[in-house]
Amino acid sequence: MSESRKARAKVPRKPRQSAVRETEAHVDRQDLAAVVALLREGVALTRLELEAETGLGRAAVSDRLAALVDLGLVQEGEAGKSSGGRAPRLIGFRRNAGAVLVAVVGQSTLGMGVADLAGTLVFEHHEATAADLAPDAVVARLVTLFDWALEQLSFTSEHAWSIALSLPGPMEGPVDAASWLGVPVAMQLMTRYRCSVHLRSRIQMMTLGEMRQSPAAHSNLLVIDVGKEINAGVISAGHLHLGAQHSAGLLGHTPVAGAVDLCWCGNNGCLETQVGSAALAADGRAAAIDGRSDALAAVLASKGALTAIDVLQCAQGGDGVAAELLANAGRLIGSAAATLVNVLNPSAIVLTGRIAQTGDMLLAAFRETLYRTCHPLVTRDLITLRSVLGSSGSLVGAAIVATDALFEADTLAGWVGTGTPLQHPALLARIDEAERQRPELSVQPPSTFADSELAS
Amino acid sequence: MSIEGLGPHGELATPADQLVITPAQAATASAARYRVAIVLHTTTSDWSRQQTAGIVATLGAHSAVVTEVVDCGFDKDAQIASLARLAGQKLDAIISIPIGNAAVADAHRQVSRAGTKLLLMDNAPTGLLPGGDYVSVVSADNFGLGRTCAELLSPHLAEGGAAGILSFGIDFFATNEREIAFRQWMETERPDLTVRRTRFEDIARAGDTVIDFLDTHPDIKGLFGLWDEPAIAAMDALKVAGRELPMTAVDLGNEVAIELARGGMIKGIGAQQPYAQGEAVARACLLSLVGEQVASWVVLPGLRVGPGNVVESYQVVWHSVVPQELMLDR
Repeated sequence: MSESRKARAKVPRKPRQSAVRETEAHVDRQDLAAVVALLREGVALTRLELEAETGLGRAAVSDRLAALVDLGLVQEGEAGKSSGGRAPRLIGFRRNAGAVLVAVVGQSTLGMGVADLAGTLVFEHHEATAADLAPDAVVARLVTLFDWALEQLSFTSEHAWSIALSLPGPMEGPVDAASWLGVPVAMQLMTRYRCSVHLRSRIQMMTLGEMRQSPAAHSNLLVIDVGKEINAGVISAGHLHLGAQHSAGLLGHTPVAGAVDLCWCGNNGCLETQVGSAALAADGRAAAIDGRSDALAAVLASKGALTAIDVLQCAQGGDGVAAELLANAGRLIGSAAATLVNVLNPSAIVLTGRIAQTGDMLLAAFRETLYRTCHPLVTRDLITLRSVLGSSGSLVGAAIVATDALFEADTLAGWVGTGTPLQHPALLARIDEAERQRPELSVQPPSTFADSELAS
Repeated sequence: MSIEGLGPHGELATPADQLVITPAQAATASAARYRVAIVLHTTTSDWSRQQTAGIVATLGAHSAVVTEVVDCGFDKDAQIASLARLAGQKLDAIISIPIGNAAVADAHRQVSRAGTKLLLMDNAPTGLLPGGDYVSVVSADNFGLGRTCAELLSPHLAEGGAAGILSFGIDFFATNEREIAFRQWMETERPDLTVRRTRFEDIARAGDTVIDFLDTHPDIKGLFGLWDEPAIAAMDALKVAGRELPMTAVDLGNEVAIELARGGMIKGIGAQQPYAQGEAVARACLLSLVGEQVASWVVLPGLRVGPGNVVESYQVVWHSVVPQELMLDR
C-alpha cells in the first residue's frame, strides 16, 4: 500500500449526509413507536416514566408526545402520585380513538370482533357456518357482521383502522393480496373498508392471544390446537415464529410410525389422521359398532352419528374405551410435541381446541408422555395447561396483529403526517391499484343492511 | 328445538339437562349450607320472577340460602355498586345477569377475586374468562330464539317492504345474539325484505320510539321485539295510534301470550324457559361449590310458540295454570 493510501486509511470517513439523515429519521421513527408502545401497553404513565423507559431526554419525549396529542392518540389527564415534589400528570393512551376489526374463519365456525387500539376486544360474536359455505358468502357474512358491530358500538366505518383475519387452510406468504379458493379476500375487505388487512393463520392468532393472557410467564410458549387439524404455534423470546412461507405450525403432519391413512396433504400416516377430531370420531364409531363400548353405541343409536365431543363426553361419563381413545390421542400428540419441546425449550405449553380444553384425560396423557420422553432439563419447570380463552384466543391474537401493524415504526411514520392511518400513502396506493385492476372487487352491502336510530 | 347459538367465547353448548347433581353431591351441598346472592337487571318482569323462583327452589332443596335478590333497575352503576358490596360479604356464590358489557366487567371480576364463585346468566362481559373470572354462563339459546322469531314473523310479511327490529341500545350479549340471528334468517330466507331497526335504552320510551320509527319508515310491515316488555310497550302504543302490525317477540310473558292466543298483533313467540334456567344455574352453582368442573356455556333450547300451542307452552314456561284469557279455543 502506498504511503498516501495508508494515511487516508487512518482518517475515519465522514458518513454521507443522506446516510446521517436516514439514521436520524430511523431513530426518530423508532422513538415515536417506542413511546406509543409504552403508552398503549400501560407500561409508562407519565413523562418521567417515558424518559426512564426510552432513555430519551425531556425535550425528545415532549416532542413525541406533542405529535401523538395532535394525532388524537394521547391525552394528558389528572395528576398522578407524587414521589416528592409536584405530582406528575398522567398520560393516557386514547384506546377508543379508533378500532380494529378481527375475524377467524374456521372449518365450521366463524368468530369476529371489534377491538380498541390497545388490542382489547370490546365486542365478539361466534356462529356456526355451513361446511361448504363459499368464500364469497363468507366475505359477505363478515361484512354484514362488521358493519352491524360498528353500528352497534356507534362507530362509523372510518373508525375501523385495520383488519386482521384468518381463513381456513395453511397460509402462504405475506398477505395483502391473498386469495382464498380464488377469492381475493384481503383486497375485497381493503377496498370495502379502505384500511389495511393482515392475514395470519388461526394458530398464529391463537398463539399471540395466549401469549397476551400471561405475557410475563410465556415469552417462550408453545400452543397446540387440537381439532380436525392439529397445529402448533411458537413464541420464542416474545416473538411469534412465522416460518419461511408464514406456514409454521403444521404439527398435525408429523408422521406417526406405522400409520398409513392418507392425509389431505397427500402424505400417509399424519398425526391428525390418527388423533384429529375426525379420526377420534371414526374410532369412536368403530368402537360403537363392534360392541367394545356400550356408551358410544347408545349415543350412536340415539343420534345416528358420533362426534369427537361424544367420545369426550362418554369418557367423562366413565366409559373405558372412550377414555383410552382420548389417552391415546394425548400420547401421540405428546410424542409429536416432545421434539418441539426438546428443541425449543418453552416455559409453557397451552393446549386448546374443544377436545383438549374439556376434561383431563387427554391433557394427563400428553403431560405424562412429555415427562417420559423429553430431556429432564426442558421439562423441569415446564407448565402444561389448558387454554381458558377458547376461540376468543384467536380473536385476541388477531387484535394484536391489527394494532401492532398500525403502530409499527415505519407504518406509524407513514401516517403521522396525514393524521390517520386511513390516509397512509402506501395504503391509498394499494387501494387505488386494487380498484383499478378489478373494480368489481368492492363487496356490496347485503340488502338487509339496516338504518338505525338511537332513541334517547 | 335444537340449540343453535355458540357461547360468548365460541363454546359449543352443553344442554342444561346434562347438569345433574348426584346423591353424594347433594349430601355434600346440604351439609355445607351455602349462602348465595342474586343480582338481576330487574325483578319486576315475568322472566325475572320465574328465574328467581327456579333458583330459590333448587338452592333451597339443597339447604342453600338466598341471602338477597338485588334489583339493579337496568342501571350499570347500581350493579357495579351492588357487586362491590356483595364481594365484601361472606357469600359462597353470586348469581348475576350482567347489565351491559365492558362497563360491568371489572365489577364482576372483583367477585371472583374475592374468592366468591360467580355464575352468570345470559351474558359474559367481554374480557371475562371462564375458569378464572366466572364458573359458567347459563343461558337460553338466544341465537335460536332470534331465528325462531324471524321464521314466525315471515309468513305475515308480504313480498318486498321492510321488517323492523325494536332493538336495545345497551350492549348486551343476549339481545345482540337475537338480533344477529333474526337478521341472518331474513337475509338468507327473505332477501326481498329490508331489515331496519330503531334502538331504545329506556323501556318507558319504547312506545314513542316505535311510532317515530314507523313514521320515518312507512315501508315497515312487521316488527320484532327483542323481549316482551318493549314489545308490549310498542304494541300498546300502536293500538292507541290505530296502527296494528304483525309482531313477534322473545319471552312468553302474560300479556304477549294473551295477545297471541286471541289472534292479535303478536303472531309468534320465541320463548325462554326462565324457571328451568333458574334451576339450571342453581345446579351449576351447587356443582361448582362441591368441587365439580362445570361446563362454561350451559344452554336451554327455546320454545317455538304459535297460536296452536300457546296454552301448553305457557304451562311449561310458567309452571302454572294458564289464565282464562288464554283458554279461548280450549
